[in-house]
Order: sequence, then structure tokens, then C-alpha cells
Amino acid sequence: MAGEGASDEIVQRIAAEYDLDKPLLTQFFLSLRRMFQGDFGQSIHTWRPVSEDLKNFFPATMELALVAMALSVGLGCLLGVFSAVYRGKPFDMLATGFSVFWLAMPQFWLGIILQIILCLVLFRLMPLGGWIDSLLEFQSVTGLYILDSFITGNWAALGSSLRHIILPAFTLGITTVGLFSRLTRTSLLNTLQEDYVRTARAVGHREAGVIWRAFRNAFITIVTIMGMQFGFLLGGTVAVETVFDFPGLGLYAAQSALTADYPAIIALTLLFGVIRMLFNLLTDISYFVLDPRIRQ
Amino acid sequence: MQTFQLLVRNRLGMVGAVLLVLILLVGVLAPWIAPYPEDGYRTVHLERMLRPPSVKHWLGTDDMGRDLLSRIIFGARLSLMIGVVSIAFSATFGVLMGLIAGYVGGWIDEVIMRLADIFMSVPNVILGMAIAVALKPGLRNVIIAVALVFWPATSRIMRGQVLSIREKEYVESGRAIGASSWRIMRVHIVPNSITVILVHATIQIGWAILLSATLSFVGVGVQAPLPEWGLITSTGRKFMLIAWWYATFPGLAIVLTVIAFNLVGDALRDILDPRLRGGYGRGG
Repeated sequence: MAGEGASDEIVQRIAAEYDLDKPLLTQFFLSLRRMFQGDFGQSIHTWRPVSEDLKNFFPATMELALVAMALSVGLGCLLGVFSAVYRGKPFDMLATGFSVFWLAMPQFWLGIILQIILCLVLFRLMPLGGWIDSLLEFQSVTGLYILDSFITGNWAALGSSLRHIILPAFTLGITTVGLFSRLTRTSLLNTLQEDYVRTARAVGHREAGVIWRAFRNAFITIVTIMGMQFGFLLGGTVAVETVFDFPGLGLYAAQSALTADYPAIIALTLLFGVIRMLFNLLTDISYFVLDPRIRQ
Repeated sequence: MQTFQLLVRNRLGMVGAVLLVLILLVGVLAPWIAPYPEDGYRTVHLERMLRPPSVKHWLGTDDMGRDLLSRIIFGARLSLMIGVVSIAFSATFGVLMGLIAGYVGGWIDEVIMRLADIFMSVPNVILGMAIAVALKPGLRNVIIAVALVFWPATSRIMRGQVLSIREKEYVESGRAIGASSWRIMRVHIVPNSITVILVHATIQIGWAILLSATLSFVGVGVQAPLPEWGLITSTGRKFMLIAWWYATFPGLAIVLTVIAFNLVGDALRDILDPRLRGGYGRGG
């Protein structure tokens, strides 16, 4: 850290600054205390306080993960409903086959393939990477670009941020589409065999309405898996953000790993763990909202 | 034997098994079937850099002029080795931990299971990356990192197995005639849980290959010039604009291998342990 050929005085000063001159156990408890105070030290590769870096990169990852989750659940539910309705037909089998395929796909590879196809072959249909067009005039309020462009009514920025986020979000979310589609399919098929569904059909409710009601019941299971899969999505941001140069925590994590930036890596590991636990908690709370039986 | 017959009848499982045998054969026979065996590792042919796929080089050449097909063939050895060895370690350690936690119980159970919870609360890629960086990137440390990421899941399954088997009547009678704890674990509990653990491990090998490829892609895994698939994809990405084949084919190799392990694992699970059916998540 002091560089080669540093004088003893400098080495000692740095050792004192990072508490390296104290016994190992004392060092551990000192750094633990600092972490509880939100001080994760200084990043070795950005030379900024790690907590500041985390604050800067957090919104991009959240926006990406939320859009990816929305895409994944939306597509998954749609496929699942159609698979249940056309059970055993070619569509159903194709959807099942694809879910095996998506699940086995390395996200970094899918990202590259999409870049090659959509950005290079198809006349630069999509931007290769980034979060928003850097030449655009744009005022960020919350740090979430899509939300900000809505609030400020900056439609050019909205278009640009949507165009930038769609490929990374698709890459991140597609691996779990199969999971949601099979879940929807199974719970819908179970619900459609219930007596009340037969009654609803018998009294002449329209088929679309019947399926919608059955789907609403299946949604509680989907919410559970959504909460659990959010952690998985977060892990995926490392590869996806690296491929698409998306300036979030994932890219920051990859760069920290390459530069052996221990303060940043320790903070990131903790942060990802905490986010994951928070989402598990949110999932538990959401049961109360979604399922009236638990509330009683 | 009966298992084998059932596997033959399970169509998807059979597809996976054939694919898996092919990949294994490719890995084992690499020096003999690779069209340019010397390209597997450290060679440079400046005269044929970044050539597109052709009759001479089926999958094209890389930025060092090496035959991509040969490198992918040699990469099969590496990826399979990383997957199998790391899961062998993680399964052994996980079984041991689960066995102790389930059998001894009490505060030891609490400590082991909470430790597993801590490991599982961090997304796999982040945890793997943190461990790989702490140990310094390289082949051996990737294996250790992957093994450390996957042991908690095995230990939980093993603990569940122990808790259910130890209540069985034959274990009870064993204990009644004075069998030691060691004997009960060795003769009753481990042999009766081995099928479940094996099925779980088969699926995990696929995920381990995927994780190690991701670590190599990010740059904290296997280092050049080893022909690791994730690493080749990562280098190929730099030449994406002028050589589409470079990043495409090694990635395809990863997809096929992971699919093969998943299909075989799913089929084995359906045949050997129908109770486990329905788990599709890749796991955080």
C-alpha cells in the first residue's frame, strides 16, 4: 500500500492508521466496531470511503434487480397460465424445455450473445452498455433513473434508461422465468380442479374470469419464491453488470475482486446478506397482506 | 440394475446421460481427439489469429491463433475436474457436519446450523468471489471456494436425513442391543442417506461448474493460459465486435454440460427419491 521502497516511517504510519500494529484479535474487534458504525474503511481501488461507494452504486443495482424481477415474474406467469391452459400440448412441452435451458445458462454468456445479436447484427438496435445516454441532460432525484425521469417528466431520459436497462434486466431475469412458469402452471392446474372452480364454470362464468380467480390464488406461492429468488438475482448482477457495463454494486464487486479490495469485498458481502434477509422478511410480511386466512 | 433400467426409460434423463458420457469421453480423450493438441495450453500462432470457423478450424481460432475447438476440448477436463472435485469436498464436509449436527444435537447442532445459515445468506457468486479473492485466484483456490459455497445445502439435507432415520425402529433396536453411536452412524444412517446425497451432488456438480465459470469470467477464478471455458468466454468478449465465435462456443459448452448434469440429476431424483421432486431453483 505504501509502495515499494517506502521508508520505515511511512510503513509505520500506515500500519498505525489501519491498526495493523495491534494484536490480531484487537484488530478484529476494532474493525467490527467500525462496521457497526457504518465505517467500512477506504476502498483500495476507488480511494473513496466504501460506505460512500455503496451508496452511489446501490440504486443502479436495485433498479436493475427490480426490473429483472418484474420481467421474470411477468413472463413466467404468462407462460405458466398458457402452459396450464394448453396442458400436454406442444406449447406446454416447449415452455418446459426452455425452462431447463434457461436455468443452465451462464448469465455472462447470454448477455454477450444478446449483445452480439441485438447490438451488432441487428443494426445497433440496443445500446451495448451503460445505464443512460451520457450526453443527455438529466437531473437525478432518487438515484433510480426510470423513476426520476417519470418524476421530472424527462421523456428522452426515460426512453434512454429503458433502452439501456432492458437487455441486462432480461439477461438477469430470464434464468428464473422457468421457475415462475412451472410454479404458476402447477398451482393453476391444482386450483382448476377445485370444486368452486367447477361451480363457477357451471353457473356460467366466463373462462377467462375463472382462470383469473384461480391465478390470484396461485400468486401467494409466487410471492414466496419471488422473495427467495431475489437473493439469487442479486448474485447474478456481478456477471450481468460486468457484461453490460452497468454501474451498480455487481460491477463494483467485480472490480473490487480484481483489485483485491478487501474493505469493499467485506462490505459488499455483508450488504448482500442483509438485503437478502430483508427481502425474506418482506416476503413473510406480505403473507399478511395477501392471505386473509393468516391475518385471523 | 433396476435404477439403470428406469433411467433408460426416462427419456430426458437418457438424453442427459448420453450427453454426459460424451462430454466425459471428450475430456478423457482430449489429447487424441483434439485437432491441434498443442493448442490446448501455451502456444502462439500469430499467422492464424482470430480466423472464423472453417474446414481447418471448425470453431475458428482465438487471439493467439490457437484452435478454439482444441481449447474447448481440453477445457472439458478442467471444468469436469473442478465440478467433481469441489462437490466431492463439499459433499464430504457437508455430510460430516450434517451428521454431527443431527446426531449430537443440542448446542453443537445450533452452532453448525447457524454457521450454515450465515453461508447461505450471501448469494453464491458473491460468497465464492470473496473466498476466491481471500485465498488468491487460481485453480486450487477456486475448487476450495466452490466447495465452501455448496457445503451448507448438503449439511442441511444430511441433518434432515439423520433426524428421520435415527427415529426408525431398526436404529432403536440397534441401540437396544448396545451398538455404539459410531456403529449406528456407519451401518445405519450413512448408508441409508447416501442415495439422497448422491442425487443432490449430481445436480450440484452442474451448478459448481457454472459458478466456477462465472468466477473465472470475472477474473478471480482459473487464470490464463489454462483453457477454462469461463475464462475463454471472458477473453473472447474483448473481441466480440470482430470475432463472434470466440465467446460463443465456450459458453455453449458450459450450457450443454450444465444441462447434462441437471437432466441426469433430475432423472435420478425422480427414480431414487420421489419425495424430493419439484425443486427447480438454482439456489442463491
